Amino acid sequence: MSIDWDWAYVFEILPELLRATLITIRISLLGFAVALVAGLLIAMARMNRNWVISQPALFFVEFVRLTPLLVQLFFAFYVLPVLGVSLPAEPTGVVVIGLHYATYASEVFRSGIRAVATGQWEASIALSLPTFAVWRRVILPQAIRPMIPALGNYLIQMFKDVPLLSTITVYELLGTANLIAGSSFRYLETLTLVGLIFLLLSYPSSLLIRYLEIRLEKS
Amino acid sequence: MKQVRKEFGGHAVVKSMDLTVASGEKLVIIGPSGSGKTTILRLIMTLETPDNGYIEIDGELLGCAWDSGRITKNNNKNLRAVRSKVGMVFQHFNLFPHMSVLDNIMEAPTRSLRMSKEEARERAIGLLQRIDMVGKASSYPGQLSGGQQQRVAIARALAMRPSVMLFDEVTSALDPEKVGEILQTIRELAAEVNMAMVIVTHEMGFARNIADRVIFMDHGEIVESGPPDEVLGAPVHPRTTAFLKAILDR
Ligand SMILES: Nc1ncnc2c1ncn2[C@@H]1O[C@H](COP(=O)(O)OP(=O)(O)O)[C@@H](O)[C@H]1O
Ligand SMILES: [Mg+2]
Repeated sequence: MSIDWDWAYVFEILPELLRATLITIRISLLGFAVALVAGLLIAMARMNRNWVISQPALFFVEFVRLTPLLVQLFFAFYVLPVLGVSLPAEPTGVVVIGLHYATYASEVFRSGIRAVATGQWEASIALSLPTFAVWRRVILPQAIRPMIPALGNYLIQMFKDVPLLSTITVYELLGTANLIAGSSFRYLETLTLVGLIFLLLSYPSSLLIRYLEIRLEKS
Repeated sequence: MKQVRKEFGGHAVVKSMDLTVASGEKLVIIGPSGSGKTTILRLIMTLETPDNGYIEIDGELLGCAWDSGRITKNNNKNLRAVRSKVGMVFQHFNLFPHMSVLDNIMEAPTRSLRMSKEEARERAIGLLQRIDMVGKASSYPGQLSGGQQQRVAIARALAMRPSVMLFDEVTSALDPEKVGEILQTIRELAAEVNMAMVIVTHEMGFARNIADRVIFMDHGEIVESGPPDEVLGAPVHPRTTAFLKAILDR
């Protein structure tokens, strides 16, 4: 069997695919920002001594983890508008994927925050620092450094999950590739390129994270 | 401090403690390990809440309020205000490792007292001069010796200008040759500042030298209390005598 690979076609569709790659990257970064902010809030809520605050946060985490991301996307895109909440496809995808990963990020935050010595909390109280300053100035700066590798891995994982958004009409990389291949019928080149682009972005990122991990261990 | 009681898991660690520290008084608490000394300091610092009784600082209730003749719990509004009159130095320093020495000292004045950066810096540098560490202002705690870290921790607590300072075995995590410098720093402060001090220590020479009054504690109770010459020099209670002998024999 000979493989019929068309280089001219590759160069013809490459600009379109690279443009779509930028959309995938944009969704990953925005989704990750949502995951970080929401993840931190969830972690703080879960660590709150008042169960009226900690229990709903726990329920949310369990709910999100025990249902598939694809179902969550479909629900947000097709059901929420029926209930009167409607957003365009891409923001919907960003929020859903962001909140999904927020539950994972919240666990990273929780263990990172717990790893900060109790003496740091006690010193903060002894200095009468306001609660906000305790978190922002004392606890989080110490908690975040060791969390960077774990959070970085979730960023890569999220980046690889972005193609799921093609199912709710977001034309990120895979969705765009499908559209192109659907009219040219050249799936071989198109999907090979998609795979290569993902690999070319994920692999250096994971190397970078491993490097950070090693550096953190040394210090 | 009135009728203060604190239990951990049903075990009374501090039993109905009545204790008054006069303004500017230097009070030394001694006693065997586990007798509740740290817990008393932590109660005053609001790191623990009493199960019973109450604590007043400069006539203001700590973390609670009077409500028609009764004490109500959890008055968070006055908690921070009253708490800021108390400073504490810990056995293990608890400096902020990610901040420079100068930032460690400036943090509380700028965040808790809302002082301007310039003013806080001036105050911090003044304190660094007093502990003879101006040259280390931009160092990080990890780069300092234990003795230097503890001096910075003292300066950090002083930056709040508390009316009472608590010292919890501040030399017990240090190398023996560094103990002297810390005790000297505290002694100088005691002479300089009109600030009450409650000092938990096992350094009996230091205790005798600095104290206006010494308390010997055992099992969560005050066994003996009086001027250092009496409690340390001529104790009347057999438990005090036994404790002092054990310390000297060490
Ligand atoms: N957070 C805590 N939980 C349970 N027990 C505690 C706690 N803090 C102190 N204790 C107990 O209370 C007793 C008195 O402790 P502490 O005040 O540290 O004594 P000291 O400082 O005189 O050595 C000890 O038996 C200790 O084990
Ligand atoms: Mg102790």
